[in-house]
Amino acid sequence: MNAQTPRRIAVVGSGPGGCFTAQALRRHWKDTEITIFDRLAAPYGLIRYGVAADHQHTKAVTRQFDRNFGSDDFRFAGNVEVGSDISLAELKGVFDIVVLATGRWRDRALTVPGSHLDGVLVSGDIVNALNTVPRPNLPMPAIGERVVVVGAGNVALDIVRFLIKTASDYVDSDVSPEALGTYLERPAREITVLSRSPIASAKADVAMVRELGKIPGVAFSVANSSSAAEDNTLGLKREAAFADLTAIEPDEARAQVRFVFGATPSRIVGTDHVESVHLAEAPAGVTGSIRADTVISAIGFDVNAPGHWHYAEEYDFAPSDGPGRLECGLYRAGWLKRGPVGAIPANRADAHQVAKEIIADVESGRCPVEDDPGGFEALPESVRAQAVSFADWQQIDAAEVANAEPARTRTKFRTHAEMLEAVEDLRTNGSTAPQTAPTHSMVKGQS
Amino acid sequence: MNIVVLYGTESGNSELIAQDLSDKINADGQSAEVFDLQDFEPESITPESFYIVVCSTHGDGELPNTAQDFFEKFSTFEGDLTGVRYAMFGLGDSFYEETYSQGSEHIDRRFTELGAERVGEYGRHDASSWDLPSDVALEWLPAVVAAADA
Repeated sequence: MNAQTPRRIAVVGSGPGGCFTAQALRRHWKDTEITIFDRLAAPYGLIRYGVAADHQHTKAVTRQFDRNFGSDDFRFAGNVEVGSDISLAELKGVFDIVVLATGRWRDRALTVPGSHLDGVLVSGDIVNALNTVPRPNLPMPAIGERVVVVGAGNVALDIVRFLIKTASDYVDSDVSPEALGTYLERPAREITVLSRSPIASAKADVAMVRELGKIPGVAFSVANSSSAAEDNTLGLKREAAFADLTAIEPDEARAQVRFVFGATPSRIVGTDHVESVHLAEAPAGVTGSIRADTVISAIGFDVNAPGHWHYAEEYDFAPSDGPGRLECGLYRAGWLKRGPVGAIPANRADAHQVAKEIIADVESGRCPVEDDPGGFEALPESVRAQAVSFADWQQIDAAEVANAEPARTRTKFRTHAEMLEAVEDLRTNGSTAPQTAPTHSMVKGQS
Repeated sequence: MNIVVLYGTESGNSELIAQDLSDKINADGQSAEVFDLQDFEPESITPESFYIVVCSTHGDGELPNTAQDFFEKFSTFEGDLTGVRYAMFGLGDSFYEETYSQGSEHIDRRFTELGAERVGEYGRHDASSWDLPSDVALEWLPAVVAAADA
């Protein structure tokens, strides 16, 4: 191995950004040790915890990474948080290259007057509950019968789908039975979706719009502020997809979904709890005030969530289309680099870019690597001992699958501590039997 | 016969299948090499090789990211592909009925227009099934290789 090949690479964050970057680096450097750290005991970040629970197929992308970990191409070091368990400086000391891929996890919140009222939620709280995000598990927030969804991108449509689906729509998913059951005890009946943009420039994928139309028992209406230009093929397609929704005539509607495009909330009104949402703008025929007991915003992620960069406050993490290099030997990838936009595939393309950049930096001599810094084995004994390996994770995984409630692919452990206990039990007893049975109730569905 | 496995991918699944197909072909004593469509030129297609194209579907029935540049070149490519034989394996999700597995079909149509001949079954993986993509592709492979050798 010559000086132009790094021996030890650390990736911080095992979500799609981190795993795709590691994959691309592995393709080029076959013998380099690659360690992927995660603060959680479970790998895959947003794929496991952020993808809509009814879009189970999207999660199949982890099979690629399972194989990489399974073939020792990468080492998983879960339950190690950079910034508290180990500093970034220590990590940089024992790895030739450190790639930060910790994502952007906090929702952007509404800032209009009344945003503090009870009943105002961010979409992430719902997605987290449905995906059983641990540390600790967050309960499903209370959702009323009259809901205003702010935003009309794919995450907003994920929320609308969740609001109008029934228990049977989650068969063979890994949705939290507890969280889903809580909502389905008293689901929403009137849903208003507010989009700042007209349909033509709204962000939702056409396929996502069409998907709404496949859910039986729901009536849709659409108010649009301006039409797509004749040469806007995508905009016209999206308008047609929304028009198709309004053509659906259910015999008996369980829920009514009203899309209002070109509308922005000006304030949320209520004493302690949401009572109505007032609009600053609205297309013709739409009243300026909407009765509501719940407001759910799905307006993107906060790029500067406080506390997020505690491990590296000295660096600028503003979204960038430029290089992933923060300095020689230190890079960023995925949402941490380009901002919280685009789905998993977009992260793959970006990860390949960053990997190319890293390879070029090392091989051109711009950022030469020094003598072997030691890598994972050179970390303090305490850190290595607490690290959850991929084999440990596979045991957690098997326990979750074994614990699956009927019609579920798995029932996730609800807290990080439970996952660690399972690892501990398995290490102590060498048993593969699940040690912690889920105690929560079954889904109380309607159908 | 040399087999060239080409893939177009958005999230890496087609790449994994292409790699698995190539590994299997090589393990069985034939020779195969794998290319991402974004690193492959239409001019390189010759009757001396057999082509297996593995391609997903993105968005509203469109080609995935790594196939788009290739397809633009392929669309304006004017070579004669008479005598070239190929097989197709498309990925999609039948939940999206209207656009299911359409990504690969753009490439398939152009191959045919240029005079190439598709052999074997048109392979498909449906993300709405619980089948592992590589399992489906590896089950599909032997008949295709047999047809290629015929």
